[in-house]
Amino acid sequence: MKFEKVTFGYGEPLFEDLSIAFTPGRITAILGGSGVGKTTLLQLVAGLRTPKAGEIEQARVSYLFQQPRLLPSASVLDNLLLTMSNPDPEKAMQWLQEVEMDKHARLFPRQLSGGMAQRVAMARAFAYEADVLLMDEPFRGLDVGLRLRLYEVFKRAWQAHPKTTLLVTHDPEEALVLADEVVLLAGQPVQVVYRSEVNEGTREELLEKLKLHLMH
Amino acid sequence: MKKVESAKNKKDGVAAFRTFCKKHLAFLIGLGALLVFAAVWEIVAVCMQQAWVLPRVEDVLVALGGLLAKPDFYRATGMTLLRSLLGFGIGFVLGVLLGILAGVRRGVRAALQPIVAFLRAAPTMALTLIIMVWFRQAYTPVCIGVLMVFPIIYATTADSIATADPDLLEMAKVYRMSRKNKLLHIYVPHATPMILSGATTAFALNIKATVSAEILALTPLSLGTGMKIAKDNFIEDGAAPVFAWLLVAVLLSVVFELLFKGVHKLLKRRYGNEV
Repeated sequence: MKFEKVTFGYGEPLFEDLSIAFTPGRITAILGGSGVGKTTLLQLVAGLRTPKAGEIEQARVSYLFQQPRLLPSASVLDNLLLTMSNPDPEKAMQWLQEVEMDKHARLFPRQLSGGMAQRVAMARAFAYEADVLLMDEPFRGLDVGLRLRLYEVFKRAWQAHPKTTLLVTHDPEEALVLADEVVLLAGQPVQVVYRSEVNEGTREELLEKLKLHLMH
Repeated sequence: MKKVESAKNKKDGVAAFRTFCKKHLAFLIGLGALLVFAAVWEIVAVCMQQAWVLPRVEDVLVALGGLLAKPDFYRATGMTLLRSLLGFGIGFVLGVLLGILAGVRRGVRAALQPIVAFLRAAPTMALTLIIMVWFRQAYTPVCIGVLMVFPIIYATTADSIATADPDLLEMAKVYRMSRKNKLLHIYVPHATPMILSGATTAFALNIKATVSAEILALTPLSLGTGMKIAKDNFIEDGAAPVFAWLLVAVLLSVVFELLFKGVHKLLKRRYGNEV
């Protein structure tokens, strides 16, 4: 998954000749201030926006949005089946089990709490056969306890089916808990200003560095 | 002991009555308003003493009873209902199909805009006169029904399709959902309440327009022609039979409004607040 000399903007150029490659089979956290273009970057990967210049490697993606975006008229199970390329109820139920939602398969989105709905969205993202998983601050706005539980659910699901993942977040701690690598975007037009592996030994040091970068 | 029990039963009865009143408050207020309206009507009619201008409520009910006793009444009302349903059905299907097309394709919407604007602005009577020249008497009310229903259903469908949740559509694009599933699970749940609300308005208008067209076209076996004949016999019979026919037309409209509301309730139970 890579960007080559990508130019894109809404009037003013947001990205200009941006080149960046993401390591396959790993989770890369993309950090940056508000309005820096983190979500736009994911939308470009998903093909929801077209770059003005440059090339983006095409891939089949699944997307975990900030809001669950479940189909209101479909049950939890149908929300998975309706988006799967090869609808398989057994496989869908396995993914629901993975996110501890198998007992609620017959419920409708209006009957779910925010955390439950986000788990279903997570199961949907994993059940869809994709090369790349895009995550746009899916844990934002959830209370700390729920967020920590969802981190665990996500890690377990990801380990069962690892794939190239781009995680957009504004929270450096979340990035360090979930990602193998962090990329920091800043500037106008946007450039990669910092990039590092996440290692157990350097976690504290990395957190300080990221906080410093984000403050400036 | 018996006294205590009877007091308790009385208390329970009062509580049950209060709960009933609270639960059916809107209906009771409506019924009250109707009774007040009937009372005012009766007082004015009694004071005026002119049965060919404003008949007494009692006379209208007697005239209605007279109508109900005639077999022709049921055939005429049935045929009017059939024409209304046919006009409504054709207008509804056309409105939904073209509304969906217009909702997803701006070009279609732009192309249909002048036709819809014309149909909305053209006086019903003028349209009836033109259609009477083109079609047989029996078909004129059906055509008028179609022309009344189509613009309403078309506009509500097109608007509801165009305002479908962009977040869900974006999700559907990412997950490459089929057109059929997008239609069934994004557009239809979003559009259904708006279309149903439009259909309720359209049906009431459709009954009005169908009866008007029947009066003008003198359609055989119809509620409208029944009303026209009653009007022609004003001098002998007074206005009570006309009011009785009017009551029948209003009742038809009310029954269908309740039916649409029932369907809406059923869908709401199935899909929750999204419908």
